[in-house]
Amino acid sequence: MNCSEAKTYLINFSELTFGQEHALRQHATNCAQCREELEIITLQQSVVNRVKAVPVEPTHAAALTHKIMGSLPTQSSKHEIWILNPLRMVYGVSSILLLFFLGWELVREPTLPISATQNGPKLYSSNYITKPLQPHTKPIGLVARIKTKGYDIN
Amino acid sequence: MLETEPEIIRKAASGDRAAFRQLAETHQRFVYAVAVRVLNHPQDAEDATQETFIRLWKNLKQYKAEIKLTTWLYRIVTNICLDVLKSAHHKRNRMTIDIEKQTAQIRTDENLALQQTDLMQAVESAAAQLPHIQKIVFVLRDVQGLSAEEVSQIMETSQEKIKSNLYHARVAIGKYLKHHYQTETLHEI
Repeated sequence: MNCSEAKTYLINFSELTFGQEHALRQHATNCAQCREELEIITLQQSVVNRVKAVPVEPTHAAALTHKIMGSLPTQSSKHEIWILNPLRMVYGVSSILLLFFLGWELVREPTLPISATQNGPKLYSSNYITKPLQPHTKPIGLVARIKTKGYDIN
Repeated sequence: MLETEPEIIRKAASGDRAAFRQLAETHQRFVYAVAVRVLNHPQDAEDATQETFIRLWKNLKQYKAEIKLTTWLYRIVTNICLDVLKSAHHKRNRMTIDIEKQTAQIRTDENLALQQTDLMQAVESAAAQLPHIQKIVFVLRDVQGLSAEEVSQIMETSQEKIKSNLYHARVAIGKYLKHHYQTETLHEI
């Protein structure tokens, strides 16, 4: 065994087979540097093996459990009512109000008898879709449109 | 009828606090043991244990059975300990000084037998000098007795890196122990 192989064995010290450890010790008898490292690691292992035998536990295990359980935040479970989130509620209510407003506008629209042109369709958005303006239709000017509503502008 | 751990985990993940309490009672000891051996401070270790279980509670829905719960807990607690070590240099240094004082007291008293607690303090003192990663690898591998493969899963790194870190940690601790105790006394160990 050379020093390079010995180093590999030292790195894997606690996983060595009996034969590998024997070979390492054989090499260490003739190599001062490897012997010193082997002594250091052997010492470290013997001390740590004694130390780890001492159980380490919290002083009051029940109190620690209690402390853990008391500090748990509310977990969002799958049964949670998502609408209870304030931001989601504001978003939901706003959406519903907007839908009501648009719906109301659609209901009110047919009662607005304003024409965009003299012979054109009434000013319903739905009419503009189904019956678009004729390209040569003369649009009514702003003044004429105001007069049709009965306002006196003079 | 006793429930299996996967069943308890599933219940806890759906918000069952009683099931989570069972998990905490089962696993808090080893989590605390890792934390106290890395942080060398019982109060910090309790806080780290508490934080570990809070994180587990928050993320239990993401738990997948491919990885063992203990591995996951080890990973959480080591990450928390790393954060604590990085954020509390002054505290660590203060504790190191305290331990060194105790160790010096032991060394100067030649008639005092080396008890396990004294050895433990010496190892803690030696480990406190290590880089954070080496210290955690040493605690997991040598003190907790996990395999190199388990430690590499926990630390999410290769086994070669784990072995290399462990080797350097062992040599550093061994040198520290050799330096701090007389050779005659060491033979008794």
